[in-house]
Amino acid sequence: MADTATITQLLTQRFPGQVTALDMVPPQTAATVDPAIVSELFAFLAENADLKMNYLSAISGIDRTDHIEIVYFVSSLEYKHKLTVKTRVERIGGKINSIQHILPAANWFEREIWELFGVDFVGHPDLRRFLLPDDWNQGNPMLRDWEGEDFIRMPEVQ
Amino acid sequence: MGVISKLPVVLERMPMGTVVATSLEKVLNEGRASSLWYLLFGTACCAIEMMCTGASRYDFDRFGMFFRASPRQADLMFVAGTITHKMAPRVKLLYEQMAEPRYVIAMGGCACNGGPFHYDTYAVLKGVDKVIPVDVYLPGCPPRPESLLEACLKLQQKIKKQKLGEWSSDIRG
Ligand code: SF4
Repeated sequence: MADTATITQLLTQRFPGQVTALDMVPPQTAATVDPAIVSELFAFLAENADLKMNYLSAISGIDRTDHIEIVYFVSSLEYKHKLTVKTRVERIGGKINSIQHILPAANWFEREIWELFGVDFVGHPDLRRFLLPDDWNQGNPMLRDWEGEDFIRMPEVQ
Repeated sequence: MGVISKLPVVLERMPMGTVVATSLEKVLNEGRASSLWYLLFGTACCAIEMMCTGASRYDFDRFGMFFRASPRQADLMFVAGTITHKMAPRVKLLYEQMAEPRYVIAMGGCACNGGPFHYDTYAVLKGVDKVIPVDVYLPGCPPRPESLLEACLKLQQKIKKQKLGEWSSDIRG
């Protein structure tokens, strides 16, 4: 069992300078990291004997209008502690390493983000149409400026 | 419906034919309106109200309405719930599998025009009448069971006014 101070220390020691911000206020402890290190980071989180964070609850995508934020929620079934990992990619043509080979649960989450936001997960074995209709050809609908046929934007309320 | 739709034409040429046609129409319409078997089909929250209406407190059975699990045996389809663009072709397929004459009640805001999902969505079809013809529109989110019963009574009134030759959906359009 590691408390927040230990997690902070382990992370900053292993990835000096690449963990850019830490917000270690329980219960939602969060770390903002460099997108280049995600695969090593999750391998480290899953395998370190003091962390054992090998349970992935979800991956979210957020369109922040100038970049896309990818948020991973991992926790440890054994130690009952959890960590939110935030990272950012380019808005158009963004690329990030897949963590599917470390945490297989990431497979469908990454496929969904690829489909709805257009983020390319490098090393994902099966990026193909997932939730949208099979004949979909109107781009990535979760981007904030997306418009499609028969899409009606909410009128401004005065 | 080949014979039924040709019948009025033949009848009207015979002496006293219209009298027979009108009486036959009345009998058939009463029968049809009093035994609307509906397709058990719901895609979202409105389906809960539909199930509730079918259960003992509100009791669809007293109108002669039973749910059928197959579109082949159903006369009526409640579109109870949100229809997404992905679901729309399936709804159309189910409608086409129903035997004629067939009726549709669009239940709830979602089925009428998209309801709460009218704005700012990429996924929801803005009204089920974009894919299948609708007989009764029932607003509400969700409509209470009483309003669903009211919609069924409205549909019964509509059926009772039908002419023999109008039964086929080719004519209903
Ligand atoms: S109209 Fe309201 S209650 Fe009915 S399916 Fe839509 S959101 Fe649910």
